[in-house]
Amino acid sequence: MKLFIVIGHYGSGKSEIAANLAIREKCSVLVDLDIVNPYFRTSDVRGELAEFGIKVVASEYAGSNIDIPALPPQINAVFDQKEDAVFDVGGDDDGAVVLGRFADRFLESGYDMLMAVNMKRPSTASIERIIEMRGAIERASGLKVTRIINNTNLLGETTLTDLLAAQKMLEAADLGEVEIAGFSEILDRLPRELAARKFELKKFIKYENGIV
Amino acid sequence: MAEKVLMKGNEAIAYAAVHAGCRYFFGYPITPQTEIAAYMAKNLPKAGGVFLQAESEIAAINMVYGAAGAGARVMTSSSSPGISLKQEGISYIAGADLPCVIVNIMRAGPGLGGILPSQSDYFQATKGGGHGDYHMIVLAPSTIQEMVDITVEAFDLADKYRMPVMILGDGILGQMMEPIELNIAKTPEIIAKPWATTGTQCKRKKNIINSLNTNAPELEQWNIARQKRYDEVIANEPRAKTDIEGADVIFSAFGTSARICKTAIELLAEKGIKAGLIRPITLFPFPVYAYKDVKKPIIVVEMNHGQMVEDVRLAAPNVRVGFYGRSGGMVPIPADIVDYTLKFINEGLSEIV
Repeated sequence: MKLFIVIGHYGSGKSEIAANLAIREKCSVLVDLDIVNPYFRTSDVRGELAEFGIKVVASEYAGSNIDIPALPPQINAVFDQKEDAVFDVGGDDDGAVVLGRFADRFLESGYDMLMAVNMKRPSTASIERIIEMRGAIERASGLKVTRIINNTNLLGETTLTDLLAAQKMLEAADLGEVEIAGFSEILDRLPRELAARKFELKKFIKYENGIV
Repeated sequence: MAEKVLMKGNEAIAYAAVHAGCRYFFGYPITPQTEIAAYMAKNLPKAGGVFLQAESEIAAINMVYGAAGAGARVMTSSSSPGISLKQEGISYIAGADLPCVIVNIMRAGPGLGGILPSQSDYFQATKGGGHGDYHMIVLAPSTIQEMVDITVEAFDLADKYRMPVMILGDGILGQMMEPIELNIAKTPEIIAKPWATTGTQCKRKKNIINSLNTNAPELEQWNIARQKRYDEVIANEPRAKTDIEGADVIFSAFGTSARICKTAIELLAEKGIKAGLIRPITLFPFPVYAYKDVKKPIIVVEMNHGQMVEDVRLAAPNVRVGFYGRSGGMVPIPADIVDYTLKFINEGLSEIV
């Protein structure tokens, strides 16, 4: 049984990372714990993930156009049946509060908690703010961050220079292992010494069709 | 190159409001605009301001009324059903000639409707909403960068004309992220407010903020004076982005719908049809000038069942005006707009879908 938790600031790419992580780690379940934001979330890509044999467990209200912060009861089954799972958590410490309810079960089973970081987001633009955010999330969840995913991007205006500058700062900050995430068009140009930390993302979460 | 950061539309509005000198925010949470309040809760106190989550939308708008009367730069934000609740207060603010900024990140209605994006509050925003002869300046951004620029401008316009300004976005613009420039180019224009109730210090006559007047001839004069200011707004402030050079057919849309039209324009170009776009940026005052010389048919695209189309028909009485809209949180799809356009051009389709 492997349990991964993806947390971070809202808009840091958590859902994108969670979906890709579930595929990379060959998990059977992706749990959508985002009770904060009803737009652009993992449960929107249920169909695509099914093709990889990944079941999405989400609130029955997810995607139903009703913003009721309810949790799916099937979450307990993920622990009981010892499934390999990724938990996609809502943004900030507000979103992480919900983890607290399952903290005992995570501590009992062991877990890997990844913090998605986009240093182009103002609230996580410096190491100081990242540490502040990490502390708030750890206090809210009762769990500890084990790894950082550097997902520094400006969407279509992302540059390798920005991504590498963030990687340098994050690695120097003693935050634990730092994986470097991005789409292939950026990561294909990654220096060789960073290859081992590369986390290539496939695009899942999309804006509404046709908005340019 | 200027440094950029990645922001959600809601955050960008709040970020720009703080830059514009807004130091008071009164609101109540509602999807899909809550990040505005969340940002203000976190950042306004750091800027020496006050964030207050009121007990209701009605309380919030009346706190805005009070702060505006005292001369503060003040903002509230909500989404459609919450904006309906604020209408009484907005009418009072307009009646007392006070400046403030109100953000509506529209969701589907009527009633509680749904939480998904919509543009169905166009009538409410541009034609009053509350009671009495009043207007708000209504600004409709279509990118996150434009949300920043328009927010700064909204405060300036509100102060200049002593009237409420509404920023009209929708759930997509509020929730989507785009890179914006970290440094806001526009410096806010802070002007003196000699009418504000800041305390007389026994040195001047007291100022009174009030919309009540039971003396009919006097109340009429108040109304006439206000209408004169609206005439100035109509003369000076209408704005649209126009790209209609050589076009066979012209789309007209605001906000998110205008972005979708751009994709439809690309698809039509592949079919050899050149389509243009008139994107109103001010919805009140409506940019009538942009339609003046249009000789080609116009298709209005909205996320509602036909609201701005009425103003377009008034602005362009001599051309055929069609309409394509979706509602309930459904968003127009470029391919469907193309289908409608082809029928509209080729088959002389009736004007309403």
